[in-house]
Amino acid sequence: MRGKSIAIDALNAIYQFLSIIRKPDGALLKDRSGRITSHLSGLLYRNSNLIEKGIKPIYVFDGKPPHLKKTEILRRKEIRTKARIKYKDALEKGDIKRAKTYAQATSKLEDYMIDDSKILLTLMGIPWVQAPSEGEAQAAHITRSGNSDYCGSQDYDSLLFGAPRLIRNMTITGKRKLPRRKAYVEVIPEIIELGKLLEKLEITREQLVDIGILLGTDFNPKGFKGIGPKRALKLIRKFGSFEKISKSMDLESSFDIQQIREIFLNPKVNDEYQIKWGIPDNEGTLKFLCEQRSFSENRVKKALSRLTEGLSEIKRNVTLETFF
Amino acid sequence: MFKAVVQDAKIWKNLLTAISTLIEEADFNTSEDGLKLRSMDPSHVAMVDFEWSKEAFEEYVCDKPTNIRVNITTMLKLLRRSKSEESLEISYDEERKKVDLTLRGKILKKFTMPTLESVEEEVPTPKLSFNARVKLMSETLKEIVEDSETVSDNISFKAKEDKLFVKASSELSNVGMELSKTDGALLELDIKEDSDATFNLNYFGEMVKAGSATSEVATIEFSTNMPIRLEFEMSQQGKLMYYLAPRIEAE
Repeated sequence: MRGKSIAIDALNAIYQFLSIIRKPDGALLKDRSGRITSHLSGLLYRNSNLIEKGIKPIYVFDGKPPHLKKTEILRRKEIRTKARIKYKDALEKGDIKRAKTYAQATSKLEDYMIDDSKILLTLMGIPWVQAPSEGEAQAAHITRSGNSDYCGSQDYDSLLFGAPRLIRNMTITGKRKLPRRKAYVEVIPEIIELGKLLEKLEITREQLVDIGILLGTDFNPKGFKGIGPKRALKLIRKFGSFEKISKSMDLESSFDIQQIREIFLNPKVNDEYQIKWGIPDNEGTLKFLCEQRSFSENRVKKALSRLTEGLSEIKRNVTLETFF
Repeated sequence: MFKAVVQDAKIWKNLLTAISTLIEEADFNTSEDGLKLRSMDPSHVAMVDFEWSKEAFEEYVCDKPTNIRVNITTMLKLLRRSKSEESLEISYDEERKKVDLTLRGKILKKFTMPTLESVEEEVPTPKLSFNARVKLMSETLKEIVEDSETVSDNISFKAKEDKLFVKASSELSNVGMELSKTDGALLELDIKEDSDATFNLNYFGEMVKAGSATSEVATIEFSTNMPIRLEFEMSQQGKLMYYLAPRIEAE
């Protein structure tokens, strides 16, 4: 992977940090004034690790969600509210383990966390791009245009958005804790190539989007009852498109399929972006993280020195195109 | 249709080895005049530029320009055991989308391999001018590389006055070498301007080792902090060139 760039769905990564980086009782890391800092810790250490290995991250931030995502956003909010009640209950009963489990589902992204993340990335010399709408769509666009080698996200949605190469399971430790158990599994990064996937399944990208709709996407979270991945693939192969399946099976849909397809196939993206890996602003980062966000100076310094060495090594390796 | 016969299968095997050091899959562009392949390695740090004119082949038929994309590693695997006394016929069947490799020696062997879907890949045309040009025996170049590899992952070339200076250094040790025409180490040396550049030795070393098998003579061309061009001349009408981006120290 050395020398490769990855366009990472920023909010997807930040959510991951907010749910994983917690104290044993499930409490988030906070600074002196009570601002949450779990995501900053994640960004600092994961990026130092990636860059030390010569991997070049690009963060892509979500813009305004498409109107159709409303139901899904409400659904997520509800899950969080329920988890918060259970978390409090578990804490009151002194059940730390259960508390942590519920706490992980309460993660909510506040605007200041996104702002803090952007500040930290800028200080670290890592490029970030603001998407007009869905971050994964923009990340897929950047990768399709050849400005990044991979898309990095846990969501398979990226493939529907046309990401040619998707990386899942980028972790710091290489292992992940199993939910509600004290066991860990080894997590190996998974690379999915869209072209090879479509070839293997013998379908087109349009048909893959239709399969997504049958199973449920962010824009029609429920999908269709009784249709799982295997059945969906079978149906698409047999009938060819959502409309034909819908007609022959009399599926009831309460949404506009064409609109959802448009979101995946012709998403709102931005061509005005700059991708450049810089040199970290050590002083600025220390001031921001240690003085303002209560990080340990020693640990930040260590991470910064790995980052600086990694970034200057990246800068030394220019590509040929620069000269042609 | 496309059909080409190489008298000595081993030459083709060496060329494929040289190409495969950088890339796994590539398009062979065939035309009436011959065969070309130009492709960058996945990280876009290096490029291979290969050309064989039809005269270099024992027999060459190509009635229309075609892009044949193959997995070089696969082709190399099939030809791994080919020998000098065998001739090799490469032919492409457009309908079956297969490449046939026929080795004719004591035994007639016919291998068939799949072709790949052509991908639209923009390979830029290198437009570079060089201030230093050094011609030397491939063996000499290999020696420089191997000595440098003992101390560092990078190699620096400096052309000044009538000498080529080679340097490789790590934190603890370093090696410096001096080569000139008068000492017999160089065959030719043209310097328009003093030039100095550093390259990744993993790449450069691989190129030199694989390329040396195809030619006894090598030419390197470079300018200060610009890509290097490494060319292996072939006695027949062909050329094998590599380009490698420099390493630039951050200010």
